[in-house]
This record gives sequence, structure tokens and C-alpha cells, in this order.
Amino acid sequence: MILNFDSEKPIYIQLSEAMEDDILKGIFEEESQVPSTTEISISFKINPATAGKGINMLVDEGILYKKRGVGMFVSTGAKSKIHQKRKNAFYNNFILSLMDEASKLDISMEEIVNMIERGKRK
Amino acid sequence: MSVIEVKNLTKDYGNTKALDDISFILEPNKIYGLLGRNGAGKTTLLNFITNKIFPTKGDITIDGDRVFENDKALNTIFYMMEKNLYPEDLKVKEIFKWTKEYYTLFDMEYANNLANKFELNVNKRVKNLSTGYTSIFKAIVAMASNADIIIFDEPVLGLDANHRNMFYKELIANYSENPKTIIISTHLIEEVGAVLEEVIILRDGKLIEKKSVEELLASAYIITGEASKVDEYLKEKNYIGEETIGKFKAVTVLDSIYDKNEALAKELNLDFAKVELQKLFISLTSS
Amino acid sequence: MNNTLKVSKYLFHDFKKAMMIFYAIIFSIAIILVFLNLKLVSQEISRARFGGFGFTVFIFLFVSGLNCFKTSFRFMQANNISRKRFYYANIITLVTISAFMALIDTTMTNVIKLMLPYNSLLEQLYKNDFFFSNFIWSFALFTLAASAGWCITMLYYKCGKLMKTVVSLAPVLIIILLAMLNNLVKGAIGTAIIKFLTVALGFNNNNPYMAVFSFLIASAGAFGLCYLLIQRMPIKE
Repeated sequence: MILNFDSEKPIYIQLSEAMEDDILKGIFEEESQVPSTTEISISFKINPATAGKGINMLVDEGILYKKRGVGMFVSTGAKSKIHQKRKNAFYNNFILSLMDEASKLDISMEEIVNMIERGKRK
Repeated sequence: MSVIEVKNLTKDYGNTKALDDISFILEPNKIYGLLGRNGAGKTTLLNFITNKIFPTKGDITIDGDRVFENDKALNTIFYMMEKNLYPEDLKVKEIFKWTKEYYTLFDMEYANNLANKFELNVNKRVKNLSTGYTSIFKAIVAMASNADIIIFDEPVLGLDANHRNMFYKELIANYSENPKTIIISTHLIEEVGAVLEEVIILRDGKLIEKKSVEELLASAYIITGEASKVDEYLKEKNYIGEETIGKFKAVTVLDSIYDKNEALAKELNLDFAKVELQKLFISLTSS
Repeated sequence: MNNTLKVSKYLFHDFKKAMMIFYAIIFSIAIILVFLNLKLVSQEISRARFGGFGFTVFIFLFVSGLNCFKTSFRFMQANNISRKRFYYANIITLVTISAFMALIDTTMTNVIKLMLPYNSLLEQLYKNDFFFSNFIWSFALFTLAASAGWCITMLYYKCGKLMKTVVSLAPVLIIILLAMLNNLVKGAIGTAIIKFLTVALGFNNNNPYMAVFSFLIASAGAFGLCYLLIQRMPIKE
């Protein structure tokens, strides 16, 4: 996990994204335990409330769940949930603005597809 | 529960006001940063909270009880002063022992553990400690005191990078284990920024901000680009801290990050950047 | 333990070392004197009389009182102890130590007397050497020494540079002024002071209890002044 204090994103969002990345990469398997809020806040020297906020975001989304007295675990199906979430974000952040820009520049659908093909070969 | 309330605190030294009508409330169990440049009144404020000195006007209460000569209220606070008030001839372990007399919840085992981690020789006398180790020793006494409120005035003074890192980690561990109100007064903001939940910023004896770090960082952003274009963007906007290099200009805009004028910026070919706590602090506190 | 007593505990601890050194010296001197005297007596030269350990205790307690503020006040402030509590703990400590040292001094007087032609301070002044009167008189005198020392050191601590000079010069000026006035009224002031002291110290009728009363009143006055001084005592460099 890497947090970048200079990034434009708030730390708690960076934390939840970094955690998601690690789940996608398989560093944290489904049904395995993840570091506690305390461990995270100590190792990154961040306020426990900030760390808690980042972790709770993932709990709310059903990516992590709490086992009372044991700790925090990755939910079954977390990987596909993150996939889906990222795909949605990809659509919102990239495709929509791509289409927007394309319509301004009068680029046809066909041209876009061609461009993507060309980009893929690179 | 230990709510600290500071009401209309004022201190005059002759014609100058060391503190000017400061009021705020600190909720329990949060980590606060008291920030300000040298001479802004940070230590003076802390000295009032712990009744080391007496205000010209105003009041300080903890859970509604005035701190003035109040042993019960004062005992809920442990104040690590920047100045050394410990007898120079006492050994570190003797000070641990005496502190336990007055802070009965003082955790001797934890204090010795910390001393071990920081390689502080508890058999040394206070006068033989270096500046760095004097800070470490005082910080250890404070952390082990188990008081509801712990105040650190420049806790990392003279500490090397490694020890500073260890200090922040131990502090967070201590806080996670046993939530308490922590006030850290420091000018090394860059390091401590992420550790803090809220900041209190003083300038020339006046309170200029008391906000959560998140709110504070969301209340300003930086706009960069070609100088004349930046100026155009800045029309009718409140801003501080201008930096110009040749034709390039970077300005801190005092406006919510949610109210950025993205369209205008795009049109003018300008870029946004997040403001860092350190930079924002410098902009806010320089006249 | 009560928290005020915990503060006293530290203050006693602080005193312990100085007191041990003091008694080590006093006992050594006493032993040497006894030893020398035995030799001299055997040569039948000695008609010397000894006395005045009580006076050394007086000086010791005065100096201790002088040293009994800055370090301990700062240390107790580091532990967020109120000034009031520190004040009462100090009185408990100073009075207890005075009583303890008076007891030792009186006992020592009686032991040394068995071996030496020794006169206690009380005996020299009042021709009185009952154990109880010696103890109570020494106790009152020692308390006065300690409280006066403590009061002076606090006054110095509280004062700024200018006030320190004023406070230091004031007694000298008062004495000079009194001396001048005394000349003007042809020694009337001097006579009055001596008369007052004679009565206050019970010299007129060899009554040590009058002195005990005066010493305790003066100590109470010193402690009272200390109470006023410590009220808003700030932490200083």
C-alpha cells in the first residue's frame, strides 16, 4: 500500500483505493484478514479517524466486513465488486468525457473505435 | 470526558497583546495541532490552559471547572513543556518514579519500554541528556502519564528523522490504544499534518482558524498557469500567497475546492492543485 | 496517601541528602571535641566550655529555606500541582524538619553534656536547660530560620530585576535611616528596639517561652507573606 500525501485526493480516499488495489492484485485474498485501522494509522502516521473513514467506506460498500473482536476481513465477492465499481468509474471518468470531447471535435464512432484499436497496438 | 473551554482569553504585556480575545472549545479524544509561527502565542496559550501563568482577562475550564489553582482539573492534564522544569540532578528513572506519585495512572512498564525503544538510558541524570534526548524523555513521561489530556509543546525538538518518525508512531499507537485529547504545538507542520484531526492556528496572538484538517484543506486550492490568465481567473476571488516564476504564476485561492470554476480554468488553460497544509499555513500566517 | 503529603514526600526527599551531610559533619566535630577534651582534661589544662551547635542548625535551616523553592516549585509545576498544595506541603515539611532537628539537637546537647563542659544556646541565653524548654525553644527558632529563608527566596523569585535590587537594598537603607534617626533622637530608637527585643525574647525575666511565642508569631508572619507571594507565582526562566 502506498499513500501519497501530495496527491490532490484526500488521504482517506487514497487509503480506500490503495486497499482496493491490493485486493485486486490478490495481496489481500477474499476472506483473509486486512490490517486494522490502528496498524494502518501507525504505519502511515495518519490520524486514526482518517484511517477509520477510509476503511469504513469499504465496509459500507460491502468490500470489507468486521468480525467482532477479531478484526477486518475481505468479503467474498469483493474482487468482482471492486471490478464493477472501477468499471463504472472508468465509464464515468473516461468514456463520458471522451464522447463529450469527440462530439466537440466531430469525431465519428467509427473513428473512435479505430483510434482505440490504434492505441491498443502501441 | 474532558472538554476544554477557553473563553475570551487575553494577555497584555504592557501595550502589546500576547493573546487577544481567544475563545474555543476542544472536544475530548481528538488529536489537535496548535500551529503558529514563533511568537504567535502558542506556548503562552498552553501555559494558560495549565495555569502556569495568569491571564489579564478570560477563563479556562475543563468539564466546566475552572483550572485556576484547581488540582482536580489540573491533574487531568499532562503538559510536556518545551522548557525543562525537572530537577537537573534527578535521574530519568527517578522522575518516572515521582511522576507516578502525582499521576497515579502513570504506566511504569510502558515508560521503560519506550525508553528502551528510543535507547534512552534511564540511569542518566536530566542535566546529562542532549537536547534531543531531553525531548524524548519528556515526551515519554507525557505519554506514560495516562492523563485524559496530553499537551506536547514542540515534542520533536532536536530529534533526528528516525526518532521523529518513531515518536509519531508511538503517539498514534498510544492514542489508538487509549483515546485521549492530544494537543501538539509545533512549527513542523509537514510531518504532523496527517496525524492531526483538527488544527488551531494562531497569528499575532489571535485565533485565525479552528477547523478539521480536512475542512481546512478543502477550503483552499491552488491555481497555476500563465500569469495574466491566472489573474483573470482570480477576478472577484479571495486569494493569498502568490508565487511567480517568470510568466508562470501559482496562487492559493481561499475558496471551497467544490466551488472551483473548472470551465473557466479549462478555457484559460490553467491547472488546479491541492493546497498542502504547510503551504496553506504559511500563506495564512504571513502578513 | 493524601496528595499534599505526596508533595511533602518529595520535599523531604530533597532535604535528606543535605541533612545527612550536615549531621555527618556535626557528629564528627562533636566526636573530635569529646576526644580532644578527654586528652586536655587529663592534662588538666582545659577550662574551655563549648556550645553553639544549635546556632549551626539555625544557619543550616535558613540556608535550606533559601534553597527550598525554585527547583521544587518548578518540578511540582511540571506535575501540574497547584501553588496552594505546594505551599501547604512546604509548611508541613519545614515545620516537621524543624521539630526533628530540634529533637536531635536537644538530645545531642544532653548526651554531649555527659562528656563535655557544653552549654546549649538556651542555657547560654536563659540559664535554663530543661529538655522540654530546650526542645520547644529550638523548634520555634528553627522554624523561624526556615520560614524566613523560604520567604526571602520566594520574594527574590517573584521580583523582577529592579525589584530585586530594591528588596536587597531595602534592609540596608532602613538600617541606615534608623541609625540616622536614632542619632537625631539621641539614641531613643536604639533603646526602644533593645527594650522591645529584651521583652519579646524574654531576656528580662529569663523566660524562654516568651521567645518561643515571638518566634512562632514571626514564623507565622513569614509563612503568611509566602502565602501572598505564591498566589500568582508564574514560571520563570
